[in-house]
Amino acid sequence: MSTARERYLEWKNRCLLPQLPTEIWVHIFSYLHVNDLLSVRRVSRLFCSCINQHTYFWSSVIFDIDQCANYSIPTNLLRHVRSANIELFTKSNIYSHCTVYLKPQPIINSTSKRRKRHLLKAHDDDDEQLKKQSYLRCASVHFETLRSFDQLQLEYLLKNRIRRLQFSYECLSHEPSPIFLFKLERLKHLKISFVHNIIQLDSFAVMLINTIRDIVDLLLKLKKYVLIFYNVESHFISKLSEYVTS
Amino acid sequence: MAGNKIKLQSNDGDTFDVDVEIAKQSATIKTMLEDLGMSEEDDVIPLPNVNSAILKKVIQWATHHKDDPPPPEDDENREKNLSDISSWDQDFLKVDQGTLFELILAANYLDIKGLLDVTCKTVANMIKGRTPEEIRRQFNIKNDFTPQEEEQIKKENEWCEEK
Repeated sequence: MSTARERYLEWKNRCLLPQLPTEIWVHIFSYLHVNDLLSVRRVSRLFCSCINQHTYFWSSVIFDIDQCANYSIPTNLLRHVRSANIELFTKSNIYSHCTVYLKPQPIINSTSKRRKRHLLKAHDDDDEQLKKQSYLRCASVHFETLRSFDQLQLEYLLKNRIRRLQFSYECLSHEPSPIFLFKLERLKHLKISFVHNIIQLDSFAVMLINTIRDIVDLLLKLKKYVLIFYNVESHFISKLSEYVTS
Repeated sequence: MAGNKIKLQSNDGDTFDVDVEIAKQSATIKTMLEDLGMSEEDDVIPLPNVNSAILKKVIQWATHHKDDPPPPEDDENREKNLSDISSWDQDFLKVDQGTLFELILAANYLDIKGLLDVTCKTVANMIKGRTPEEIRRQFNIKNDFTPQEEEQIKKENEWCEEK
């Protein structure tokens, strides 16, 4: 048999392949690792939408973000941050089953400047402690205003994988870390509604937090205490301030 | 009971006598027999979505696996392992891609979880480690992305890979 004939038969065989329905492809993809799913997403629209909507792909990506060690965000990317992709609602009885709160902030909660300095000095040698200063924890999340496919995906997550959702923000003096939010921002159509009860945030508790911009603002305010004392003049921070105040 | 047989009819008219217990690996057939009250002796169960060649293969698989324990309920937390395909199944599934896909469709229609899992794993193994272009070639899939969409997905992927 000639090579050309072999190639022809191979081509013909492929052309006659029966079509598999979406749910079968989803089942097949469920056996693949995220690295393979990255390739599969680039094959065709059907494969891409299968993976976006029905597999654990985004959950793996989204919920691994906090494992990410590199918190540096290129400054020029900040201007791409759009607002209102993430909505946070203030405390409400309707959503009382959901809480998002910040861990105690020793620096923020202190009213004494000397005490603040003392705390900062203590943290100076203890990077791990410093990292934990800003720690947003989301004990349970109510997803309400998601688009249908996001909702399915996130409901799937909550049902099958994530019982408790916990976002942690590592706050370093020289590296603000809204990268997590930034990454969420980049997910088109993703809209998460957090319902929060920031009881431990004292002066910020009255802040109306509705958009990602508010979150960035909040993070900046939290950081400001650290930054002032450390006298850090990073380009990133100035850009961030610019963004928040604009 | 051993010896009880039913008749399964493929879409091209062939009829196969199969042990009831073997046929009941198919949840679809089991439901027909149990819930719909079809009797085993006199009824022929028509399977309009399966041709005789594929039905023969399905019966062959079900016969080999007749003593297997029932497959566990789908558990999302269960580790999904691509390499746990028995050597018998590997040999059984050394077929052309068209037949493999037909088997998947038949397993799906007949609701035979074990066969569906093993066939899907085989296809997943065909995808594993391949580039998008190789996957397209393998399954004869047309790249229907616009250049902009392709660029967007590429960017998203790069972002996902970020450490």
